[in-house]
Amino acid sequence: MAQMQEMTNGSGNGRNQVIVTAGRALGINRFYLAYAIMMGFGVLVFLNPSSSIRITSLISTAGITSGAANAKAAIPLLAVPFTVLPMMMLTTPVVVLFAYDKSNGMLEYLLSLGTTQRDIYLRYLDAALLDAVVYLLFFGALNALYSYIQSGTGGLSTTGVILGTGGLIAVSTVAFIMMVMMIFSSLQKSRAGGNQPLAMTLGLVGVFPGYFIPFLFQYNTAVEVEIVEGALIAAIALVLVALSGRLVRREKLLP
Amino acid sequence: MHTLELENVDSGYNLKPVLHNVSFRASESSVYVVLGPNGAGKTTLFRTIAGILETLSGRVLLDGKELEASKKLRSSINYLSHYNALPEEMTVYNALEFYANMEGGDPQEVVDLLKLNELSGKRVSDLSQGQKKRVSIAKVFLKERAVYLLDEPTANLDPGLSKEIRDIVLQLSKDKLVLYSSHNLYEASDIGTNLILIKDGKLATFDKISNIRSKSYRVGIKASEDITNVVDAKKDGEYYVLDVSKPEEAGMALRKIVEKGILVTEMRELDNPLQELFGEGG
Repeated sequence: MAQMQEMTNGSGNGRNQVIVTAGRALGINRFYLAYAIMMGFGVLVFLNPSSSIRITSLISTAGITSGAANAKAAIPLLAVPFTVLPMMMLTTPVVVLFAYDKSNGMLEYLLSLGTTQRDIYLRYLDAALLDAVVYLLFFGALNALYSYIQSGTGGLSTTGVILGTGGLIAVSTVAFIMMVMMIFSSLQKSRAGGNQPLAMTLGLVGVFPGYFIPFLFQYNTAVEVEIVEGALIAAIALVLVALSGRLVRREKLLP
Repeated sequence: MHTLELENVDSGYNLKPVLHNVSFRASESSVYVVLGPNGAGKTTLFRTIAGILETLSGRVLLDGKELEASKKLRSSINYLSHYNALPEEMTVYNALEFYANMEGGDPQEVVDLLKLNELSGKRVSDLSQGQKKRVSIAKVFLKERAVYLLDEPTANLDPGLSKEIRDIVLQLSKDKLVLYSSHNLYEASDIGTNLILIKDGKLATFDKISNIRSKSYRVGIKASEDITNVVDAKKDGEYYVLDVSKPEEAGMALRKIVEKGILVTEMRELDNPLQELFGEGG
């Protein structure tokens, strides 16, 4: 019973620590949060399927896809990569926090408390995912509301698909970027920098296909391809999480 | 009462050993002073015991159980490193609360213990190095542990606070194992009961400090008159310096001086018995 109590308290503390870490990350550099919020409103105004000034509408009327009538229906899915991008941006402050905590000895102290490399990676990974999910829920609700106001329940289905596929790819990409970045940062002998450009480059793995998929496939197929893409990235991230204890020796987290 | 045991431990970084075949058994609740020249392996020893570094060979045991195998056992050891390990964007109180949420304890208690009340509302980033060190030490006392590993806890602290920290550590050591590294030999001999001397990554000495005897002692005497014609002493600065092979010889010399009616205002040991051991490695 006492052990169960201890475990319950432990997981409660764990959740609390993730919230604290997520908040600390956003507090360290507010630029990324501001950028992500601006992007979120940009997606709402220009890429929401119910928006009267949506860019995807301009693309299809300009006849770019005139040779592929079926593909026109998939054009609204262009909103997916633009939904992923700001959530990817939100990982950067968490990675910066990880590097900062490593250099001031906090990771060393966490290790001395009995945590493992994997525990530490999971703490920052969960914090990045929390930031991304809160963002997704907020702008998801805003987009759904906007669609409903503009087009009634009819506009909700495409918005839901965009948010669903975008959310899946975003969460997978965030997990993938975080794991690769933390492993990269851990393996650096001295602070060589380059974390941000590398994070952005890696993020393109999740974002880039989204710019082409709507032009290459029919709507239903495009959605399926994006779901497979998200699942693949998630699988790679999970493998990295599982192997993190073996990939990186504990001393790599020392200042 | 706890027992910390190292059995033939090799440990280091990037699979290259820094510590070689280190073995000792510490079971007396007291302060074990860890001495050694820079780069000898003191911090590596602490990190290995704390489980931060995985041993390359050998075992670290606490109360007969292997530390590496148990998260819970590892959490019964606390390590104060050279790094402050504080979230600098938080206030002092919030930083302590941050750790209290993680490991337990009452932040206000350690604020009171380390007299941090005036600092508790300040951001960690606004503190001086010495103040940060105080906060960093405070977090060590949040939760009671079986073993404390304190790596130069009084570095950067003013003498008054260093004394307070030593008093807290001495109090703590009544029923805990404390491993305490210091470059200050007087502090080491003042606080320590046992000595762990590390040289070139090897255990050079593991003994009670009281068993460590110098080959000779230099005793400084301040007297109202010249004493060189009474005892075999030489004037060196403000002291008459006397070389003796046993502490008792100093007592006999003092008696001779006093019997001649000379007033002795001060008598002290000029060298620390640990100096000799430390110097050999240095």
